[in-house]
Amino acid sequence: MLGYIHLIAFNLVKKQVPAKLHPAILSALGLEQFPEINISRHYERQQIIDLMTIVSQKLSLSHEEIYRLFSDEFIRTSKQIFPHFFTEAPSAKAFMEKLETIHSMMSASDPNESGKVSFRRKLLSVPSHFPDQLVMFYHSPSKLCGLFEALFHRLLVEYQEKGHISQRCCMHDGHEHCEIVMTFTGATNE
Amino acid sequence: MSDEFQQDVDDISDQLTQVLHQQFNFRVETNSTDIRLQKLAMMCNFLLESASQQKELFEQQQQHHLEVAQQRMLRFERVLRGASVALFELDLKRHYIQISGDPRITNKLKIYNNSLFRIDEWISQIHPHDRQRIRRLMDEQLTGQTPYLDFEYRMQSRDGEYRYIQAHGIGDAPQGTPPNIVAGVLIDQSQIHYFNHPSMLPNREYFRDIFPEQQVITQPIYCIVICFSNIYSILEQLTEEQIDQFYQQLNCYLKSQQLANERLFALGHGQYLVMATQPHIAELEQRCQQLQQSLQQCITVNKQSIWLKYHIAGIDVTTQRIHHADEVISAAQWVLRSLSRKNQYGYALYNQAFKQDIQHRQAIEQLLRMAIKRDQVTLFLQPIVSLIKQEIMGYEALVRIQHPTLGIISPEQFIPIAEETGLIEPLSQIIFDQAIALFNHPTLVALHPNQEHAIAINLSPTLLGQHQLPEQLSAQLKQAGIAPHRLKIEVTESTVMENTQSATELLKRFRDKQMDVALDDFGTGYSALAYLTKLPFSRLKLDRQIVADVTTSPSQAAIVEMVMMLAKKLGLTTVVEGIETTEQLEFIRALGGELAQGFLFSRPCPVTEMAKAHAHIADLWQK
Repeated sequence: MLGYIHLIAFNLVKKQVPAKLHPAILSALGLEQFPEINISRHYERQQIIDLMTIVSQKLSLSHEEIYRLFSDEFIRTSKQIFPHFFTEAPSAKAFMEKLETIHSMMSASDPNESGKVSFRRKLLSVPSHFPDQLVMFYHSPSKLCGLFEALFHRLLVEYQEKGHISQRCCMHDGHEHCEIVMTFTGATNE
Repeated sequence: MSDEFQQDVDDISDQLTQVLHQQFNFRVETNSTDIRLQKLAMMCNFLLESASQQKELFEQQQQHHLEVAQQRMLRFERVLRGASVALFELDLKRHYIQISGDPRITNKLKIYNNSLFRIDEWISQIHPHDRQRIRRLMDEQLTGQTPYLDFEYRMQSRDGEYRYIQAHGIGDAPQGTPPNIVAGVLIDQSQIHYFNHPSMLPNREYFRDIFPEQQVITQPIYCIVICFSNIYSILEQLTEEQIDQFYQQLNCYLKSQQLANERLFALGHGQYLVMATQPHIAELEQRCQQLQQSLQQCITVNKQSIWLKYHIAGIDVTTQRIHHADEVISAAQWVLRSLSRKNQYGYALYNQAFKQDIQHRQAIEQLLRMAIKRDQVTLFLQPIVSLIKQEIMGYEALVRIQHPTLGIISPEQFIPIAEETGLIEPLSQIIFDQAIALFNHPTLVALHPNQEHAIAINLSPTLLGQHQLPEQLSAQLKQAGIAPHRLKIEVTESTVMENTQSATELLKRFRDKQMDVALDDFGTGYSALAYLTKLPFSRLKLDRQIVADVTTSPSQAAIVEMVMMLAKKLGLTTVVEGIETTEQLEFIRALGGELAQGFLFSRPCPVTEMAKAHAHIADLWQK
């Protein structure tokens, strides 16, 4: 899994989880201390899934809440490390449209995944007949489509826009991929 | 900036140097804890992956384009092979030409496929006679006069043979603008231009082109021309399929007789030419004899035996110093005509005498052409005398050329040439026009107040095919106000014998138009009496040869007597030619002869001298 995801996940723990719970969480992951994450490297997928599960248990949070926290951290960290992601994307839809490329960019360092067509299929924008609509196909063993949904909502807040998201099909329901339909309905009144 | 940071940046740079070797499949790694360098490494990897993907895509597209190009090239080459053409690309600015296409064609053109030539080098391979024309066409292209470049040329192939090439090209610029490149196709038209149909042997054109080459490469040379004189009358009787069979067998036969150093050409009109290179010239006559003997065989078509009549002309090209193909053919034609004139089958070798004869004949031909053009053709008249009325009843019009420096030229010199060259037609028309005009000549009108004098003209055998002639002369006579029976048409016995069918048809039409027809020179050749009854003659002219000895040779006298009696019984008027003595005159009168002509009465002379002739004849009777 992307080193960047690991970085955000551990930053989330560092910042949102009380310090007293850190040793137990790290211990459950088989770690003595927070690891040095190199965003240009890749790490074990299971570690992040386990981390999310442990944190939700320790903080008694649902998956959706965890994903929301993760999205907050993603926006925060990305604004620091990759400010161009935001300056180059004037709207939430524009950002989401770039997500496939961003994902590819971050995956490029993984010698096992980069350059493979299968990888690119993890996140794929498909054309929509409606200008305010964006359809994305998601296919990953991590099945983190919920995280995707959380990120959508977080971006709407970030860009002060309205919209809604739905799934035509979902890997959690036994489909081969998730088909996510995002509709951007304009700026909020505020 | 810390040393560690610099070291890590340098480390990333070092890794990136692999791209100098077009390597994009590696990934940059960094152990730096500085997230900026990690980000840099990540971006580098993204770029590497993008470059790698682009390269892969480019290679795939390149491969695809290559395959498409190869497929197109294959299709193009298949079409080229099928069409049997080559391509040319003429670079007029840089002065080179590239020729490509089916190797079968390019090989024939003495070029390697995709050969690049300087234009001068390419033109040097073209037949010398075509070079200037092609240069001129290229100049027209350079000045933008026309976007098209269409031309034909002859080019020597690898094996020394000539090919006839047709080129069609177009420039890459519109008309009025000089093009840089003119491109098009080269089509080998040798089969059409250089081969005789249906014999499929190299033709006269090819002989013309290849002869100078052979002359340069190999000496000595002899040529033998075989003329099958009855080939057309044979072909007339065969079906199309049988004609093909006939030529197939004839070609096979001729080829089977061909020696290793000989080449066979079909000149057309039933003539074949054998050219031998590096022969022993002494063998020419022997070879002619061999061919003569070998040709004494029949060809069988559809179980029907066909015998060919032939003449053979042998030409020792080297010894006779003949330099052009046309000279060879001309020399052969004169030999063949000579054999034909003499009705002599077999062979003859061309020599200086033929050459002198040619020159003489050519001079006569020129003289004749000049005479026709400059009104130097005139008619002399020889009186035809009635032995009963003892007066001139008519005249035989005899053609002469009145040359300003050579004087009077007799028809024996120029009529055969006129017949061979086709000049007999315009010459005959002059004779007809002048003869009809003579009826109303003041001298003759004065000498014949009753206007019943006749004029006889000789009809060339070459005019027997002119079916419109009787109508034409009839119309001319009518226009001149002359009764048609006053014009006597004379044809020789040999003319009738050799062209019986056409002569019969034409002579009947003359009779239909009320013109009298006379059989001339009777007794010189066949003397086939049967024809006298079958053909529409009204007059019989006894030749001077059988009259000459009537007073000294009893047998000759008996023949003349018998012929005159026979003619009388057949209702024919006899005209006895060649009366030169009073004894001959008395003999003919004694036999009841009606008409006569000869030097005793008058030599042929201009119409203006006819009064003198009349006076002389009047004196003769008084004596």
